[in-house]
Amino acid sequence: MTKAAKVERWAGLVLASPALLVFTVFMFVPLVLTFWYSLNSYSGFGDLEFVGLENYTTIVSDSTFWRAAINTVVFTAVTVPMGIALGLGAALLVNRWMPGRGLFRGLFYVPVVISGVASGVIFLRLFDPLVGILNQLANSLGLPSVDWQGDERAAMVSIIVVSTWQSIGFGMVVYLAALQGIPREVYEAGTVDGAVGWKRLRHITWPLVAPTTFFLVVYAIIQSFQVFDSVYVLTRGGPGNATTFLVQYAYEEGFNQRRQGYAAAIGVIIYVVVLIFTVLQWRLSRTRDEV
Amino acid sequence: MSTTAALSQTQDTEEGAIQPAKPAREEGELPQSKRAIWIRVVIATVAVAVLMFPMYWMLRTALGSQTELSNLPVSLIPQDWTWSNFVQPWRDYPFARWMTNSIVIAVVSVILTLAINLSAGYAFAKLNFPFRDLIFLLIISTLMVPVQVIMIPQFQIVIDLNLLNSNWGVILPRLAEAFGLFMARQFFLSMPDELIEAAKIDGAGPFRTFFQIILPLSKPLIASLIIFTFMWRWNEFIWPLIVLTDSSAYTLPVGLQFLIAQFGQDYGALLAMTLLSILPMLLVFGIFQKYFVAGVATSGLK
Amino acid sequence: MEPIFVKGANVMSYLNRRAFLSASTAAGIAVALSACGGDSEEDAEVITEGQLSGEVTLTTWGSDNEIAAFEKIAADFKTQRGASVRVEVLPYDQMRTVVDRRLQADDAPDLFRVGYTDINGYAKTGVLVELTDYLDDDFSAQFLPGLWEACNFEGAPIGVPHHTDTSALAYNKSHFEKAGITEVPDTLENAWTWDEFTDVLVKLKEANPGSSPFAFNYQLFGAYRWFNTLFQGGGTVLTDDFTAANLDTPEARRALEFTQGLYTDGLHAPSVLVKRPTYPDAIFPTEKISMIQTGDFLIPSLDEAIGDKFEWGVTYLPQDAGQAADLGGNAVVVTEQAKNKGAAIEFAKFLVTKENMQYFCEQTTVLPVREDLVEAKLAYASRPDLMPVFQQQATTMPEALIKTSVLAGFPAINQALIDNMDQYLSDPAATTDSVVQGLTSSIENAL
Repeated sequence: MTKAAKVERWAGLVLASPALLVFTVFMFVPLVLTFWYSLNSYSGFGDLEFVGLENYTTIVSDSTFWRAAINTVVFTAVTVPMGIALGLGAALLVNRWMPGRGLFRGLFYVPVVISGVASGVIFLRLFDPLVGILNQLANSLGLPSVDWQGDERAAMVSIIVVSTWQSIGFGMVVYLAALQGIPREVYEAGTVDGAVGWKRLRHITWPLVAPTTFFLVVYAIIQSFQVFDSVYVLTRGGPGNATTFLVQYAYEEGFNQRRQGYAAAIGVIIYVVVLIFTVLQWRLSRTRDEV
Repeated sequence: MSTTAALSQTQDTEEGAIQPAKPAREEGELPQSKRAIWIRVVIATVAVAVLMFPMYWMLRTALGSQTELSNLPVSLIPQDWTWSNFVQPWRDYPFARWMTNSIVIAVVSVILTLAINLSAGYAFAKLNFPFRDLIFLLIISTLMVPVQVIMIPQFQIVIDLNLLNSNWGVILPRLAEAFGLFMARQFFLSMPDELIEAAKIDGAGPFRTFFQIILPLSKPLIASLIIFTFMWRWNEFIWPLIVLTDSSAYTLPVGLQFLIAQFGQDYGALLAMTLLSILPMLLVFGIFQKYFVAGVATSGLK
Repeated sequence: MEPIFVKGANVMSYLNRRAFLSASTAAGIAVALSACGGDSEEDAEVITEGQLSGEVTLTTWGSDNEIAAFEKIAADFKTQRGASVRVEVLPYDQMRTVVDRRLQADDAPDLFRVGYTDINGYAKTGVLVELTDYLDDDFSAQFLPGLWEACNFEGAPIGVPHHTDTSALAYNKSHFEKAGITEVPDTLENAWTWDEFTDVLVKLKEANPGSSPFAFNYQLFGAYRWFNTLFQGGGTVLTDDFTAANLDTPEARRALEFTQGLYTDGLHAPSVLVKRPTYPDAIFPTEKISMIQTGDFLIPSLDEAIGDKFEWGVTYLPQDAGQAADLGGNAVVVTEQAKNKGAAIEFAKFLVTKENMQYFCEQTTVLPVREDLVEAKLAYASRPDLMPVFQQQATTMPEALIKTSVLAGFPAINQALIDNMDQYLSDPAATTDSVVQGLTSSIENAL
């Protein structure tokens, strides 16, 4: 090995070492320990008690877990397409020149930078069944009040609304970046062929931003697995378990119910699911790049 | 408002930041009819109005008097403006302290994240060392792992390191986030190798190359990393909620949920504090808006 | 004014019947034994005599009045004993989570406030200081035996009883007028029956002076207050020997269906459920709810929030097969992890001296738990006119409910309610069978 190559090896290791250190201590070790904890019963006090796979067998027959899993799937199935559609819509709206375009873009993005807790509080007021403006508006239009916190479906809708509100801007920005990459010539050729308006969107733009859409779908799916902050503020997972999601259930079990081993087991399951999606994205984006 | 002013000031330059090579947008665009433009303006105005309504309602509630707010129906525009909602919570709760904690945590996180991700990103992109690709793959596989997966052992580790209830307990564990590293590596990969070769021929070692040639060219990356890290750490909730058990150590989001419990139906006070908690972030966003948009474009996210 | 506890009524007789409690006898024996062992047993580091130094932290939740009362007593302690006390306030819904996390991290506060329903859940894990060695022989005799027993685990005292409280009904007088309800029960015996109570709510709903006629105070760790209704209907939580759930009974089913009926018939505020921290006492002052079930400790904050907006009063909880009220109130405990154990123990004792307990109860409108205060006339700081109702209501705490409430497994029983009741109450399609089944299996797991 040449001296230069040796130096490079050293430099590489030195420059990578801080990252290696934090990832080892705060990611890889905890990941391994999560598996270990999931095989134990642990209240947070006292000693770990090895129970083998008991936590997992309990999960299989735990109706709350399955309810949380179904809620997570429903939430994902609704928010992901909605976020994609609205994000693309917003991007198309403000892609080309118009007066105040920068301002519009900025305002679309504002909800993205607001914390989940703050968004939760803001919507808490809007959705308040007694003094909330939404019910007030509904009543003035002759519609009945909706019990946003007591009704199962309404509570889920309120969580979906907040999450979508927070995600439109991100989708917009990613789509904007993709739209900028479409050369003018493509559109011009399309115009000649009569592809304008809806047809242009359907036959030119949509296929061309497909990789972006794919990225956003995977990203949004994984994001929707992590929804926590606004749920914590708005519904606490209620009424009943109507808006309990997996991550929130894990938190409740681990830090409110003194069942840390069980929470770790839920964590392992979430990890496996997320890993599958990550690998999927990896695979598919690789094939995409090669094509 | 200052944010709005900042937004409109930057509106005409927002895309230039990271892609200086790109020609000005208007040149590459299809011609559009005036009518089409105005239709879009109308739709966008309506959409933004709907999207911004919750923000407006926060402002309106924060500045409305309690009696006004408890008498239904609440009018869309405040009858009398009052700052009184800000007074009591500010006086009774260590809000300034929470804001300081949030600032310290966000700023220190940004600095450390920058240092770690820039150096490691460069190493993974341009330097050869043993197990490089394997390690990178391992790190990147954690890209989407939610904190809830590892929170149980992570909490124990924080306790063992004696970091519970401290800013470091919030900062350190969250440095292990693959996103910034991924972003940095993507950025450095797109830099031409010739640049590094040229530096080598000039006799510069890898460190000098990194610090004197590469870093000065990485401003757009640095800007994006700063903004995203700042935003994420500022808004983070669950991890500080777990680690910070003392109300004087709270960050703003944790403090805010504390106030939800304390104020109950007193939305005026609650939203006044909510407004205060997001103002700094809105300000940062207003100033660096162009990097938010451009950051996504360069991050390899698309 | 009424005597504070009506003698002869079932619970106080239970609380006062010293001989009844084998546990307190056992505690007495333990004290005696440790006294025999001699004074040399005293832990060298734990100084509890004379002038103290340093600081201790008391972690608590509480209304403004409660915090102010704690602060004042802490200041007196500093003057008299030399050690300072930091009163740290947490939101009620996070009290347990935060204290748990600190205990896990070996960073617990020196003292914390804990409900009688939660105390043995902690004692079981061994994190509380056994106070046997630090209390005088006749210390236990100063307290109502039932509540003293609540602060004992396996025969040893692990906390000091600080106060008790219970629920009654607070109502908006002008709403009642609008609904044409001119009379409310003025004695315990005349308390509304469930049917009469329902009629009142129906009238309120028809007159529609607010948004909802009524709301219960079942939220989060207060979920166990539903047991009021259960016991009023003649049900019990557990079998007579406290070893199994006893909810699959006609009485329990009736109580469940009565409660659910209030929701499905629109008589109960639909958004006020169990799992979310939406507290009826926060809404009552806005006149959206006409009547709430509420604790006496909330009188000062209700009084302050309502001010002159409207007139309000309190009346007794409804009755059915019998009368029942929940065992509310809190103890103060010292943790094994306390950094300043001696001062912490002394402060716990200081909190429950006659003078300080009286002060705390007067300021925060709760009921004392010392024998020498039971008959005393307390000068309650807010709405003293309302307190007799609570005092009498407190006499209806069923003995079986008190014993259930202080079991080490009770936090988990309470949690079973939090997990199961929300859905049952909010979803009209939820069946009583499924909630009985859910509660039973969770409770049996807890025991």
